[in-house]
Amino acid sequence: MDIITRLEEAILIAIWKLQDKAYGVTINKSVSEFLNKEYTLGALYYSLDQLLRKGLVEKTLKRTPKEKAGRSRTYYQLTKDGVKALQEARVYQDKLWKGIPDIAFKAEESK
Amino acid sequence: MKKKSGPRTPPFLARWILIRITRAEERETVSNDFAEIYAQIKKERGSCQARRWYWAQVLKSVPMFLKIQMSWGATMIKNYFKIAFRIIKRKKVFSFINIAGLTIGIMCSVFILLLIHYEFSYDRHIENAEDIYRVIIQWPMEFMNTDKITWTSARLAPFLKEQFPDVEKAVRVDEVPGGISLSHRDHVFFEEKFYFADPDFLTLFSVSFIKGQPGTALDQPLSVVISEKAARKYFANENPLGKTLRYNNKFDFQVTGVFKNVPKNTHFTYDFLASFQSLRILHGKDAIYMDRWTSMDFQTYVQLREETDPLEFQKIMEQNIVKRLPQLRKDYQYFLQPLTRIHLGGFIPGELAQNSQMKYITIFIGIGLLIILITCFNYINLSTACFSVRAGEINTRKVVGANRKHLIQQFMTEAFLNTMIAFVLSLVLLYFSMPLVNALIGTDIELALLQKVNIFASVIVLVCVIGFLSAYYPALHLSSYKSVSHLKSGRFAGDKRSGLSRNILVVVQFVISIALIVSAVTIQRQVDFIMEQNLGQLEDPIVTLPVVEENEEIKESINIFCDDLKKETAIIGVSVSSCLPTNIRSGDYAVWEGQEEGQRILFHNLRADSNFLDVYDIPLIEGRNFSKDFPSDRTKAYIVNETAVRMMHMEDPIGKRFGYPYRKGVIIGVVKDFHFVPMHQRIKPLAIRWEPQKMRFISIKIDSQNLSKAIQLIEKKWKDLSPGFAFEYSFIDEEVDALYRSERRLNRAVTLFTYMALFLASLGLFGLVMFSVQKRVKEIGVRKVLGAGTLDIVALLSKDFIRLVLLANLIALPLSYILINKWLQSFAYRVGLSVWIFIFSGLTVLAIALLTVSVQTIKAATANPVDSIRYE
Repeated sequence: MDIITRLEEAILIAIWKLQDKAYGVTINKSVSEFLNKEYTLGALYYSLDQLLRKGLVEKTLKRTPKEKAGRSRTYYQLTKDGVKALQEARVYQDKLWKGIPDIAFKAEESK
Repeated sequence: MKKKSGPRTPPFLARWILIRITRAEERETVSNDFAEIYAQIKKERGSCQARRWYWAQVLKSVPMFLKIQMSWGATMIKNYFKIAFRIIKRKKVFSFINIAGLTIGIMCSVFILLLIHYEFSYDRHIENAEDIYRVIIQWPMEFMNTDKITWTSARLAPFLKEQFPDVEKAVRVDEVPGGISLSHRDHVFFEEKFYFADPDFLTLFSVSFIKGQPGTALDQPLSVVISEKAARKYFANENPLGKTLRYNNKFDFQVTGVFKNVPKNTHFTYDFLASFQSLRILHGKDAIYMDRWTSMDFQTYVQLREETDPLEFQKIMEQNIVKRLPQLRKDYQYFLQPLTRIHLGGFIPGELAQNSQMKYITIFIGIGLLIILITCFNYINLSTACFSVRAGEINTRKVVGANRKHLIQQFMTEAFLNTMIAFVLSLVLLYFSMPLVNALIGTDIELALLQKVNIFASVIVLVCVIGFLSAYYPALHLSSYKSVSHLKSGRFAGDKRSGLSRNILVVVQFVISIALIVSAVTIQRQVDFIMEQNLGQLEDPIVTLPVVEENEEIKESINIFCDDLKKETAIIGVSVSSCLPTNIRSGDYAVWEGQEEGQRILFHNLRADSNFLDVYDIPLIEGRNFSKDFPSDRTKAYIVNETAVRMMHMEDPIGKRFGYPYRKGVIIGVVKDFHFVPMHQRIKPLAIRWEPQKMRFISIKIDSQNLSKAIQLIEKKWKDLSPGFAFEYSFIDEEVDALYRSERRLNRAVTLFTYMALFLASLGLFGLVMFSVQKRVKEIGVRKVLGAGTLDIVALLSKDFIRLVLLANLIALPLSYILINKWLQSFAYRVGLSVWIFIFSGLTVLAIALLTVSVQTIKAATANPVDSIRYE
């Protein structure tokens, strides 16, 4: 399986963290916080669509109870493949960073 | 919950955009997500900020949403293609019929498109073609069915150039009617594409030189520039520059240039262009005719300055010519004919080469459209019929969520795929059949035309139109059914409706086929009729030789040649004449005894010797033939035709005074009318005189038993007599043929396309019957079990289709009568439209339909009923 992009990684983590509250608005909010950048909803939906096709997430249509304006929302969950992809991304990242001391960065930052 | 009004809801337009660009299944949740954030921002920062945010979000999201749409669309189209390929594989007969029909339809229409492109491309390769015109004259005389001529005086071109600053260039062209002999050492050939032209011709017609100086090549008398083809023919690999070509074994022309072969789509093609000044040397003291305004024998082409308005100029030219040249006849009107319209402008007397008419282009366009129609109808019929078998697949698609748009997309993709396959096949077929078709209908079209961008583009548009027309109706029609009804029955509820429209299409197809057959048969009969009328009376072949009688020497040798031939047993008769009796093109106003005041009759002129009537078997009705016993016959006698007598209102024509101001005489005989002008025109008055001058043709009647021997003999005698002249002969029936070339072309083309149309219609019918049999296979089984015979079943299945064909007959016959009658009206002499043509056409189509239907129905009727009802 291909390595997922940073944005996709952020989305998967957000969905995992949000558990059963993961839908467009909340995912967008967390992703924007993680990456410190305001994403348009369109960009988010496109990535979600890609993840859906890759089979990393699945979606369910839920109708919120009447008192909450009776609106329908698409909720997202990770699939097994999605969890695996996150783990792989993690392993890959660790491998990349292995043996590089934090000191080097601290020196850079202080400049 | 009700929508809140005013600024509390997101901006309406932005929301609408959002809904348009999202996929149907996500539409609601996406807009809800947007709305949620909007509401939140509004609460925190006010509605103004929120609106701005909403707009920005929507607009920024547009490309992303489109990307989503497209990636899903691509997946679906991939699937559609997959299904389409599977259907082609699984339903082989059906797909074969469909693709074969489309292939033939596309092939025919692409061919016709190329043909039309080609016909319109005439002379467009010439630079500044838009500014070049030919001068034509309208005169108060109807000659060859028109009152225009292209002959002008040799004085006109220099006059125009001097007097009018608007004229950039003006050139004269003169032809050598009948052709000439050219020789270089022992290479002697007969040439017809030899013209005399002013030096400016080379730039006016963008003649591209390979060797020599175009600027000076035609400046000197007796210089000639030749085409590549001619250079190879006479000089092989030698350098032609500076070499000489001997003209009619008398004048030596020096070759001063070689030009690239003239494209065939030029209104006249030339292999030799001699300097115009040469004419003065050729004609010697007779050349003064070139200085007379009244001798009109030359073509004049002018190039106007780019900014000149041709209509304006035409007016000024008209006034000035009349004003400055009082000696000119006032009733001649001068016109400018655009160069690019010459080819399709129809025949005008004086035309340098045979041209075409808009009429034929229109007929071809009509046939092309009809073929496209039949092709599309085939596809529509087969698709709608087939989809009732495919109901299961369509229903399943609908149940799992395909909406109407998806189904339309699917059918369109299928049609597109079929059309593309057919297009490729048709190009391959065209590539191989092109030479054959060209030979058959006398065109000159190359598939290489497709390399031109605009032509290729129009072909693609054509193919797309065919594909779209074929797919549009089935897609719309089939996607409109409610799925529940056919999920239940496994069949389309609306079958009756589609059945009716299918029937209408079948009827239209057969109407077209029948009308085409009637046309093809009638055109064939008319062409046969023409040949019969012209040559019906001739039993023995007549060979004609063009000759050039320029001086006494040649005249003498021609006389010896003729006398020699007469002694041979294989030769029945020899005659010398100024024209061939199939096509007499000169005329003059005559005067006669008892002429009424103001009565003017244009007589066609023929100069011939005393053997002419015998050779051509033209019967004398009254009086006598020319005879050596009457010496005055050579200066005074006239023989006229029946029409002439009638038009002059003469009671007893023999011995009456008749003649022209310059040659007065008497009528000594009257001949039966014969067709010496094309049959489009009524027979005109004719006067034959025995005046052995300026003879142009020798006609030799040969005993048909000794044909090849006689021709060898003639050739030998010819060579002995005049070594510098090429031996070029033709049979008189070939001459007649050439006269009606466009009719023959039309005949072959209509016949060819009729076969195609008939084939297409039968193909469609075949497919329809196939489906109808498939649908009713159980019914047939049950009927057979209950005791129906094979014949009953065949009748049952064929009945509906045969009824349609009969109906088509009813509609087509009156329609085709009107159409073909209109075409026949263009002939003064025409065959009668007999009932049999219509009966024959109707029966032919019926027979073909029966045959087509019976192939399927007999198969169904003889099948074992156990096979078909076993699985109930």
